[in-house]
Amino acid sequence: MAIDLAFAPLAPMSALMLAGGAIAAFLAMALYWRAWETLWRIIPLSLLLLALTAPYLEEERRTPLEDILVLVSDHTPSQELSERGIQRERAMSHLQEQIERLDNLETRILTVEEDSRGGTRLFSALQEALEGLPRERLAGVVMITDGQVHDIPEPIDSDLSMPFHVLLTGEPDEIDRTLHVEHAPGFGLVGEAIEALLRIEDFPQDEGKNALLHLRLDGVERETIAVQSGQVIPLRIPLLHAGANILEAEVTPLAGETFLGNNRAVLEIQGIRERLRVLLVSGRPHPGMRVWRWLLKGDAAVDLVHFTVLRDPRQSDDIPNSELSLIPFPARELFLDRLDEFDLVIFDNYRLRGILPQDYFDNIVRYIFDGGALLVASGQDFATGNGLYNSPLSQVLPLRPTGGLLERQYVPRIEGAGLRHPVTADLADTQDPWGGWFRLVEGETVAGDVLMTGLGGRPLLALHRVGEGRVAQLLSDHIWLWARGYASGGPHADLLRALAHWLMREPELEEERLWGEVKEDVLTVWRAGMGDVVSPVEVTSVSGEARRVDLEEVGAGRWRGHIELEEEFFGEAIRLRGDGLETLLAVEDEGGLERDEVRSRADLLEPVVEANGGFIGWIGSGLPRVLQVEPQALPSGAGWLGLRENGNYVVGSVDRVGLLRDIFAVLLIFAMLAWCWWREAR
Amino acid sequence: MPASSAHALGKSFYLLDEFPGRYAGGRVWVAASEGESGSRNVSPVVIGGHDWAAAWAINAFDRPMILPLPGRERQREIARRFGVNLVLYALTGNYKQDQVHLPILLERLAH
Repeated sequence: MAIDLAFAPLAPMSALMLAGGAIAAFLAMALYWRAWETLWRIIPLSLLLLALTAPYLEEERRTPLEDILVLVSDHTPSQELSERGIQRERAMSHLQEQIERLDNLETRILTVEEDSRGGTRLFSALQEALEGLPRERLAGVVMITDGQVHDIPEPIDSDLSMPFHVLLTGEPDEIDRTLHVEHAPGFGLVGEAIEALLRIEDFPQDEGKNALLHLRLDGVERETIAVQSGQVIPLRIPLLHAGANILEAEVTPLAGETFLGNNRAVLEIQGIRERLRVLLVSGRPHPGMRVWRWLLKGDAAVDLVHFTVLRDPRQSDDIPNSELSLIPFPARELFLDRLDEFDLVIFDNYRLRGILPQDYFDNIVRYIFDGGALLVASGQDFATGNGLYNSPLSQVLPLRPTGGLLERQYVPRIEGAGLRHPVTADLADTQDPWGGWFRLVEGETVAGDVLMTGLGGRPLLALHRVGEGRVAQLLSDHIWLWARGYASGGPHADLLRALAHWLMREPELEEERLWGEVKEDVLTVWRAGMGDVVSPVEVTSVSGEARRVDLEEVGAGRWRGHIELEEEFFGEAIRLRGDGLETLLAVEDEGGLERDEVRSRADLLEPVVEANGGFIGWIGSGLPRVLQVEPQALPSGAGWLGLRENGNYVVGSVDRVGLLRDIFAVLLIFAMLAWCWWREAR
Repeated sequence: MPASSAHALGKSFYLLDEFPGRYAGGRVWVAASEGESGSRNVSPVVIGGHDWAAAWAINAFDRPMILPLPGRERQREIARRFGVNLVLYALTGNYKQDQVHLPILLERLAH
């Protein structure tokens, strides 16, 4: 509250000055002539002049502005360890209690979660919050954190021009051992070993301690090796299969360790198959051959060995061999000696013509039972006695020719099992404008799944599993019409590629499949299957935690379910199990920075605290009192932290009281004039 | 580009050094390819002024109609072989180009 005297002159200031000058001159003359009596006239004149200046009293009603304290509360994952959460809440309520006793203080609480880039970014959050606040009203900042802050300002920027205090959760001498992945490739060739580098670090810094590192590959114990902390540990991991190879590593803990979650690491390494070897045997030159060649030679994952029977060996003419560009078919080498080195054998329009003896075909059958793959794409010959069905291959083929050959237009359809099977399911939606074919070997289904049908629902494409191997059969050689775009064509490339890769066991084309993905902390479980129902999926962590996920159908042969994963599931492999399927999934630690190092420490924040004269201390060793201090004073001391008292206010309203106003001034002046008159009249 | 005897046309069935028809010599043109073994590098068209059809033409009594020059009957035989090669080229594309790499592929299989 303040009272001021102010004027609101009724005439221009210059005129009033002039009048004042006149009065002063009159006074001087009166004194010069010693006309004492006339001096009294000065009083009404001065009063008149004073009234013209209209003096008034002004009173301001001031509202003090509250100072603002910013409380930064660290809620990142590392703050949830052991007692830290409880300590943080205790510090919060203590501060609030202390602040309640203080006048003119407003508290802004800033709760900082883990940053999307990972890590604890308290200063960015603080900066953002301060931008909206008037600087002159800030009383200070108190951070409650474990001291693992990842965006501490450089020394040159650490002057915040306000008190900055830190209350630390955790204990001063925490022990923690961490396992770091220094280097690991994301993929490697199946059958070869990849190299990874791990490192163990102990806090407080201590090198050369012995530890044991347990390794699990695909959920199976692999080895335990003796290692030392502070050293880089090279590992050689053989990739056993295509797809995700999961390596888990866990190091023995130190006594009294704060946090065990960073003692383990999980790596997912994609196994990439060496180039797949495909043997393509074309029985004769025909228009569809180039479709196969185009597809298989264009596939970067495939090494193609292609033979075409250009001339019947029994055929003879008089042309010397030197003028023919023909090489003998290395049948023995391909079908006896090296057959097992192929991932897929394709017979394209092949007819029996004495090139391959019976025992070669027997070897192909054995190859399939042992895990090989065979694709038979047939044309007119298949309907005749020269067809491959009259060879030992009939034991493994799903479709048997009836002898009929249909040469009328039809449009291939995806039907029945084909609508769910991964090889064709995705194409089913596109089948309306497909172009027609003109040849179909009439066949009947003996085994396997028919994915596509031709004329009158007769089988066209069938898949079959025999022993360990796989067989596919296509009863027409007209797919090249699609490739040429006849009558709008069709998805020849997608179909044949999917077919070839299913035969070669591409994991993503399996009929019954279970897989999962983890995003943030939600696990989504996917299931693809040929049946109508699937069972719930059991999710287990290596440490024995188990959850059940119910699946919900989201499309033809597709199911999906979600659960939220708790802390226990991170940094290791989890196993999904259902309907006899089993999948391992690496749940990598998203919070890299948050978990890398978690022990509580003061040294990181100390420079900033010092630069601003603040208080830093562990909550466990006693909470400080909160005091208000003058802006220039040092804002901390033993057992207390100070908040700046800025003393800002706003003016709420102003009251004015006029002093020589209106009728009162007139009466006073007249009274004085009358008094002068009376005195001079005596 | 002009097709040399190294082109797939020269070895798709018969080995040919030149591609004569009724006339010999001159050039045969095919679409330029970027690489020899690419999967799509099959020329969609073969152009030449050799009047191949005349060399192949026979009458109702299966007798040839026109005598190719200058090579006469031998040239007709080569012209027919070129015809066979042309059909096989259309059907098999650059299949024969592969055969060049085959020994290497087979060798690789052994490991």
